[in-house]
Amino acid sequence: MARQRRTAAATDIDMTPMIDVTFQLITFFMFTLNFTEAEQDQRIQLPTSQVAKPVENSDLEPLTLQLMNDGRVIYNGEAVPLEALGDYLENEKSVMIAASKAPADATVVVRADGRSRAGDVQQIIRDCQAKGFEKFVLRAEYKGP
Amino acid sequence: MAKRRARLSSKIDINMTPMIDVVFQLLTFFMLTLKTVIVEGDFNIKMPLGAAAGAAEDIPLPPLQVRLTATPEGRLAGVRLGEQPLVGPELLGQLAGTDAEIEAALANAKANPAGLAAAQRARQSAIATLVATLQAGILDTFGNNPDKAEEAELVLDCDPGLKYDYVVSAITAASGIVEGDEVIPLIRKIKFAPPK
Repeated sequence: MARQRRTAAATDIDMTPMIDVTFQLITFFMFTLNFTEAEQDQRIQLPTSQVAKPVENSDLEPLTLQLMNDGRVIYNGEAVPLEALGDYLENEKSVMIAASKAPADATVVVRADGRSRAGDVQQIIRDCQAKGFEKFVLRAEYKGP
Repeated sequence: MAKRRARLSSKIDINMTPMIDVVFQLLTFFMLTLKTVIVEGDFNIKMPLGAAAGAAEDIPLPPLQVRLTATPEGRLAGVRLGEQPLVGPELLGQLAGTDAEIEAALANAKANPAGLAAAQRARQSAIATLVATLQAGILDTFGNNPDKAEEAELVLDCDPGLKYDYVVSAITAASGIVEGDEVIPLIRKIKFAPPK
């Protein structure tokens, strides 16, 4: 009888170290969770550069326009043809003016695929200029030396 | 007495199973949502409307013109700094070759992933040579003095069909020299030429 009791106690493993480790892992994965990944579309292969300045987090919310290989632009998560971008930008502009912000103060972030046409990137910039945007940022993947 | 003590000690023994279930659920969730974030960087480009004529006065040096021409496939056909050609035909051929290799490797990426990696490495080194060549040319116009370059302005004139990769290479060459871990800044004002 006493012997049976001892084997029952032996199956009772000490959970504490395992739970410690598991919580460590959870905290690690929680902190590495990236909330801005909506702005990093996986369909876009950025060109690489050694001197691109690391992204500064300014308090102003940037307008991110992502140009895909096929010439379509991802705006607010949906792919729109380049020709239609002007209408969406007009929308964006009126939203900004309603919030009493000027388009000239906003930064337009252009994330263009390395294989897209240079003319399309310039077209995006021209479309933005026509709506009053002035600050542009071209994004590239940083690849250290 | 003995019975009572036994009950007390079993009360402290909490049932861990539900907690561990939840904890592992959370762990799997966070593990699966993990995405390796690539480090990204920015190039500032200032293009205010209608300032092209007025702003030219307070810039001591005339803007540097870099002209990038393209083949019908969007490959680099030539680079001119002002009127002077910068990149020789061998490098242009090498760049076009790596372009074609990458396209072929992408089509065949599932069967031969190592081929794609090799093509990308060859591409990287060709682009690095291009950046170095461009940078040498740009520095030459400033008498190899990076401080002078900071005041200057660069106008990029690209063929519309050119691949954006090459545009970023040109901007990279113009905006800074990599020396070890440090970057010496060059031209700060970079803009695109208006289309013709």
